[in-house]
Amino acid sequence: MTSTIQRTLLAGPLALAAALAQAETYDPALVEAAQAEDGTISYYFILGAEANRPLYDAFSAQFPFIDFEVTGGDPLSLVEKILNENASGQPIADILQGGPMEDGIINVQNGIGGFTRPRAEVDVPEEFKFPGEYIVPDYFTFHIAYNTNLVSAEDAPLTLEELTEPEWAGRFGIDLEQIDWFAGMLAYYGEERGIEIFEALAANDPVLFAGAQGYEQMAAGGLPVVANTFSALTVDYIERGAPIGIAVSPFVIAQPDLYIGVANSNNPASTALFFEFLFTPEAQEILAQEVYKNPVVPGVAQPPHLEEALGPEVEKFFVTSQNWGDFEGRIDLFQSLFVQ
Amino acid sequence: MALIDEASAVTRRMGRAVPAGSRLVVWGLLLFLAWQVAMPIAGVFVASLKDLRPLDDGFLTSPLVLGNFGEIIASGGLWRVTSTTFVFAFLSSTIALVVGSLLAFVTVRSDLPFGWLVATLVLLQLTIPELLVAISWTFLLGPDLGLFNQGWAALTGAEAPLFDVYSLGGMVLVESMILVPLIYLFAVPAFSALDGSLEDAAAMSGAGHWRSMKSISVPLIAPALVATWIIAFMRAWEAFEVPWVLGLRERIMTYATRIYWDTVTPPSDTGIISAYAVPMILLAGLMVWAHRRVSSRSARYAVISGKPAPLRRLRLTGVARVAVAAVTLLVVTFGILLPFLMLVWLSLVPFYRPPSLEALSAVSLGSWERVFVAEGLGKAVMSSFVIGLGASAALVALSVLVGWVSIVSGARGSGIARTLCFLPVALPNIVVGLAFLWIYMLIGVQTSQSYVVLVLAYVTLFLPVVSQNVLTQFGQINGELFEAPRLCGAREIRIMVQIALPLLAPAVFASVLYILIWSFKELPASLLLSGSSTRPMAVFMFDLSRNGSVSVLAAIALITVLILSVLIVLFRLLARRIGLRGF
Repeated sequence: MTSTIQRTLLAGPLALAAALAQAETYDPALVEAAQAEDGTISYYFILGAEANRPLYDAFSAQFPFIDFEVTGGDPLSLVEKILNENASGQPIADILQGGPMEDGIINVQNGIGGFTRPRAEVDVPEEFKFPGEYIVPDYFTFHIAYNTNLVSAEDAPLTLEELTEPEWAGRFGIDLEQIDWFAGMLAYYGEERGIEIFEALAANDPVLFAGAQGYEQMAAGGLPVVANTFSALTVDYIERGAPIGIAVSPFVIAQPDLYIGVANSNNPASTALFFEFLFTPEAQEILAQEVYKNPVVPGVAQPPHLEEALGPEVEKFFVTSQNWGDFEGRIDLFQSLFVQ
Repeated sequence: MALIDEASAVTRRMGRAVPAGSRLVVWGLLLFLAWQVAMPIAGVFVASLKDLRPLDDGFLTSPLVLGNFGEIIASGGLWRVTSTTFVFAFLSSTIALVVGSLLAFVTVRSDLPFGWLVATLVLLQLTIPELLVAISWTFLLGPDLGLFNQGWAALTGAEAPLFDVYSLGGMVLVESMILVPLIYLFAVPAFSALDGSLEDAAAMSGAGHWRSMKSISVPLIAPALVATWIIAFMRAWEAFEVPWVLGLRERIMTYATRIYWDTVTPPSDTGIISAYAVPMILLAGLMVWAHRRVSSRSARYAVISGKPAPLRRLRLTGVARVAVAAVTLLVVTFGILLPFLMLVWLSLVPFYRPPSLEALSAVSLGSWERVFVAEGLGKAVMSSFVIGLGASAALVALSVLVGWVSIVSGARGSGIARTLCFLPVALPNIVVGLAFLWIYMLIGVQTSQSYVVLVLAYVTLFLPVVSQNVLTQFGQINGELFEAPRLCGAREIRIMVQIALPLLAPAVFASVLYILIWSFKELPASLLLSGSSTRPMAVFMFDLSRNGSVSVLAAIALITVLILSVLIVLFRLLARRIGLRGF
């Protein structure tokens, strides 16, 4: 009984405090404008609806008048849909979450992106600010990972150069879907040195795979090392108990997570509100601890199992639209090195 | 198809005037097929000769160039890829033909007691997404983790694996097992449609079981089997999942993986995709011609001329019984049951470890929970059913109408309609998806907001399978069966409903089941044409799989299998009720 009374007495002030905090974080005019829109953000994302579910739920809890309709698919189908929607004058997508390739086509080639920039963006450290028609509330990284039952932390390779040694011949895998990692490595090493390393890697008999299959092989002990694991999926496997370790390399390829607002969106205010939300401590915490992406707002902890691999002594080299290179050229090169 | 040509010719030679209604139906069919089939194919030819994309300004007026063909040849290895794909597709479809026909024969014609088990397992195989079938095999026959290879090494101490599934041989093995249900589903109606009185007559004339089968039954079902083999061959030619999972490791490229690599960068390079599709369309044309040649030899054999006498079940005795039983059980256990059990195991462990008593401690339903809490599972199931039922209804109606105007009315133009029905077999699903996306966007129809465009795309995608199945069975019906009631004044529609449809029931039945199952599995076109409110099960699975593990993938696949198993049970009950064997 006492607790019920306490809760009732506290409810009013708490609601008032929440409202004040919201007013401080979000522009009331923007909230009002969002309320006047459809009430649904059309969200295009290659990882589908569930990847960001905690994020959507937290946002909708704060703004119950906004829901999400997520359209998944591969990059080709999502980009194709947006281009066609805009060409036919029937836009649907409000937001596309993607990488340099999507930015290159949607923004650079077709000028489809455009939105109200979030106020909180100015507080992001300079190292996480990237020029372009998108926001970057988080980033992810690519790592060399290994099966801890087969390889000790001391013996684990830390660089691609080490993987070109005879002792790793036929004992490491490469995920062929990670083209961004490949482009990032070439940008880091420089074209000539990069190609030299990749030629040596290709000559060392790597096990080629695509997607989760290689992670499964590594977790099960069929593959001692994978050269280019995607941080969020690797952490997910470790959280499920897989005997996987992440090598602490001198540098890692990092990729900014690009959230592109579509210029002719049907819900520009809701989109802007969501973008504002992404820089709040609450959203940053969700991104790090539940989605396993790296936060950009200072003071928020890194995702689990990545603290050491992304420690202060580890250089983070960002692969962006500016240093990615020619899309088709990169893919042709990747293929000619490993597939053909 | 030649069987049908001959029937049409006979109908015309009989001097009967083609009813005006039939001519109208033919024109209607041709218009619809032109929209559904000829336009995408024409689009492929035009796009293959253009540097621009269809929605680019000046696409229609830009000059025709051969650059796309030059590019795919210059990209290297085209001929090697083509020859690898041919070997892969030919061997897979041929092995599947032998195995699928054997299984259909066992269930429909023999007195072996476990026909129901064979039918259940074959249909079960059809429900499992191809990607997961291939992944399961990596844990059975992979060189490092494969259970068979580990067992072999433990038994013999050999270091080399017994069989490496990451090889062309492994790809053929797995793809052929994937194709077995397709052959089975369409061989069963062919076997069921045989008239037992023909074999009885042969037996009374002193011919033994085997001789009467060889001389009568085999030639009769040959057109149906050849048509199905062609479709299986083309499916294997386009197959992506098996080459992707099993071929990548050893850099064994097929047409599908080659197309993927050449078009992986969005936006799609329509010129290159179309240039790859053109040889496939020409190949399909060659297949149509080959099929006509083969089936023309069978046209002189008897066709269904009334209610067929029941087929005698072949009584297998002695060594033959043991041998057939052993081979059948070996095939379904090794080819279907073991991969399925591996899939179940994969779904129960958070990451793979070999099945053992120790590993049982790691078993959990975590992956299943992950799928059930995901938003949209129920909606995806409903979407698949809506698309599947819509497409089935349209396809069956279309195929029966094409068969009707060919066989019964013999109207001019019906031959073109039949050819158009078969040609989409050459179109990769992604090409159909893109073509429909552009066509409907150009005329102002939003593709992702309703099921209509998805259903129409499915009609094009599955038209060859359903039409060939229905037309082949139509071809086995003697046209006189339709003439008699007409002479008595019966209306066309009544003859169709009361005479044709009951005789076509096995083919219609198999087709509907096939389409409904595929409405849960088709991905490339569905990805392009569905939206968040219309996404079918395959897209739902794809979305979850992008962010999940093999365990989650296996759980989703098994949920699909469970849903489809309910459907199959209902179909089997219905089949039993209407007296169809083999389902």
